[in-house]
Amino acid sequence: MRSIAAIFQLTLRSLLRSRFLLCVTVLALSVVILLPLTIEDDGTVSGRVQVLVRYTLGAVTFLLSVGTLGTGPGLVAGELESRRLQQVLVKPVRFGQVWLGKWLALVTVNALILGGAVLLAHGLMRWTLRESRLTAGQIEELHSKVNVTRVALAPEDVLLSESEITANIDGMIRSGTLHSDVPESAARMTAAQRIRFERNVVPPGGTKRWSFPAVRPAPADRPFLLRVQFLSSANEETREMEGEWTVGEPGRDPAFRSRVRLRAFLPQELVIPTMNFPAAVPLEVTFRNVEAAAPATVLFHVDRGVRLLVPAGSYGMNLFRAYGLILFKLALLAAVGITMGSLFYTPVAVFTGFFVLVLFGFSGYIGWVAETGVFYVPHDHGAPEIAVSGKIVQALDLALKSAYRGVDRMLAPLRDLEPMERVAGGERILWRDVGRGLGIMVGVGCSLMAALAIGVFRRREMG
Amino acid sequence: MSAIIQADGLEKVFRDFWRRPRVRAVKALTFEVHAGEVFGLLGPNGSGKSTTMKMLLGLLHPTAGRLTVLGAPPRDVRVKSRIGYMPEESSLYPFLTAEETLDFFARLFPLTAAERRRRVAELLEMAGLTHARHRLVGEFSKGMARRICLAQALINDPDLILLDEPTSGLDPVGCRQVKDCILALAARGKTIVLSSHLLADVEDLCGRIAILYNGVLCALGGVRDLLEEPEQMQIFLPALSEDRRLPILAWLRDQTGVEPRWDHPRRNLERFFLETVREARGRVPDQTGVRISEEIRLAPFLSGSRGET
Repeated sequence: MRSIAAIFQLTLRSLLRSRFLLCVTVLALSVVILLPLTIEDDGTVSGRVQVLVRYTLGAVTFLLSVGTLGTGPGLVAGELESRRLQQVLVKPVRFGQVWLGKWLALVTVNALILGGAVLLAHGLMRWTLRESRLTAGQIEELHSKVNVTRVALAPEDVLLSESEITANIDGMIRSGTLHSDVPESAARMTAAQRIRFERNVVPPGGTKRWSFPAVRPAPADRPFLLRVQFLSSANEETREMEGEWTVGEPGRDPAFRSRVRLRAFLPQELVIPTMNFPAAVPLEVTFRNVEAAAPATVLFHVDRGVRLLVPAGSYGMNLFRAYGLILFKLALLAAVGITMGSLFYTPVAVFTGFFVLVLFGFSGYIGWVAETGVFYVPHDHGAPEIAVSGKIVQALDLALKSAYRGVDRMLAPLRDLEPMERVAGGERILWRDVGRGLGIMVGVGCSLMAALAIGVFRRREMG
Repeated sequence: MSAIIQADGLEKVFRDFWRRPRVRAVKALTFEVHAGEVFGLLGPNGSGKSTTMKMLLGLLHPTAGRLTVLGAPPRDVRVKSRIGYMPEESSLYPFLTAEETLDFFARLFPLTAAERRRRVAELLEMAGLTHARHRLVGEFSKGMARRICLAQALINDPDLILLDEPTSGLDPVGCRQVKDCILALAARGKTIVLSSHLLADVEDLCGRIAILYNGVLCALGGVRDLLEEPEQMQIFLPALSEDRRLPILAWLRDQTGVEPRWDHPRRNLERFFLETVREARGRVPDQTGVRISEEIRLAPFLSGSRGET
């Protein structure tokens, strides 16, 4: 413990003197101040908050990630190259203690810079959204939408039946959109996707229904929100479509009914006023496509077409939880950086660390490839097409897909714990998620990195 | 005497990325270092001295052979707690002061805060750096850096001290002081292994030496045994006038059958230099940044060796 504290203090001093980290800090704090001035919001209070939170914290996180991966490897590799670490390692110190001391110092520096950036962003947001500068409507929006965080409830999933998938595959083969020699797994995946898309399509005059689990009634000043996201067949991304929305208990007259025009492509929110039901009840939401001026088909987003946002806490606490999740990610990157520095020389270690950062950045794409395969070609119009034919290509596809799946399995938990979108959209981050983040990124991820570094370093020679 | 270091058939081969042998740095090296002796590793550049030293410290793994230090493998943490190491290059943290440097290394050992402070103060005094204790070591001259490097090697009152080119970069005054320090440590029963290619230093300090060339042990033994020429002898006399000298030389020629040579002995250059500097010190104010007494005074905590393995 005493050795770890000594190495921690030494590394902290070295980091606080690092010019590279100083540049990153200055850049990060500048971003918080300057970026909101250069990005245009949609004029609403919640739009302003989204810009401030998503872009500034996103940029700060990226800069700190780069700073961490640029600095971390040098803490071991750089010190080995300058022969300083050898002088430490000939003392009664285990490499694990050196690793831990350096990691703690790098995480502490990240915590301080990130904390400063979050506080600055929060302060700027409160200052720019002070009530003396807002209209009455904006103040109400501030209280009902921004100051409150909500849990996003997904509608209950309607499972795909075996017969439905088989019938869909037969239909595709008959119509020639699917080759008969396509492997069964690929065909089933395509069919499942088609069915999911079809279920989210609402033609002119058509109706779509979603069922939600039981929810408690909301207080009067904190209404439910319904977040919807869809595309229009008119092929105009931001076109407005008129729809009739109802919300209520299943089998009863809806407590809420509204006919509104909403823009396609972007997520939109409908305020659902307080409904009078005495206890927690399941809810049913319906949408009817009533666009009369220029009828068009509506396609709801397959994964996040409709979400019911239920009030569940304050914005400040949510931001704190987001801070925790971002810090855990930076802690994992610090572990990656220091471990790479333990395995390779500085340039190789930095390059490898940045490769991991790129993997994080492309985790969505990796997840998509892991699901669809490398040789999947999405068709612009109509049904997707699969260009997998020939045994060699199929084998290659299988091998690459397995590799992508392996990487995706590692990245998926991190993707799920990404806090930026949620905190910007006022969606509550649960303490359970923070706990999961701590367990997965710090408990498992950092421990694995430490074990790898210690295991390899045991065999490493220091000339 | 028990062996503090035992190397038996030690080999070190450096390999390239594809694990192909690139350099055979040490070949079948066998030697022992006994408790309380000053042992010198000699050899030209690239002879394997530093490689051997790094194997003794556990920084490099022997490719073959057996090596024990203080009765255990060199990587054993218990062994490391009894070793002090002064590297060839003073690779210190430039943003720490002299005092912080020693305190940092002291904190890597199980010492109380009070004991740590005492040792740091005593070592700074011994190294002549007390007045510079708040200066960053990054601003130190090479000589001052070597002194702080030696001080950090002694922070744990080690039983075995490994010194890699201990006098490199030091002026003759500094060299003499480091050598006196080594001799004083040896007198307290510490075991010392030093590598150097400054033969005069080794001759002054070491009881036994090993000479390496191209990784091979070429000579091993006591300095006196290795350097003595038993077939010749020298006689020291007060200077004689020519009329008294010539009969003596003639008598020696008759007795031995060879022409005897004679000369006036010369003073050692090191001693002459030190005397000159000592005289100058009284006249010119000191600006070297190092203040040290004429006679080396070891830090009081550097007790006698805890002894054998």
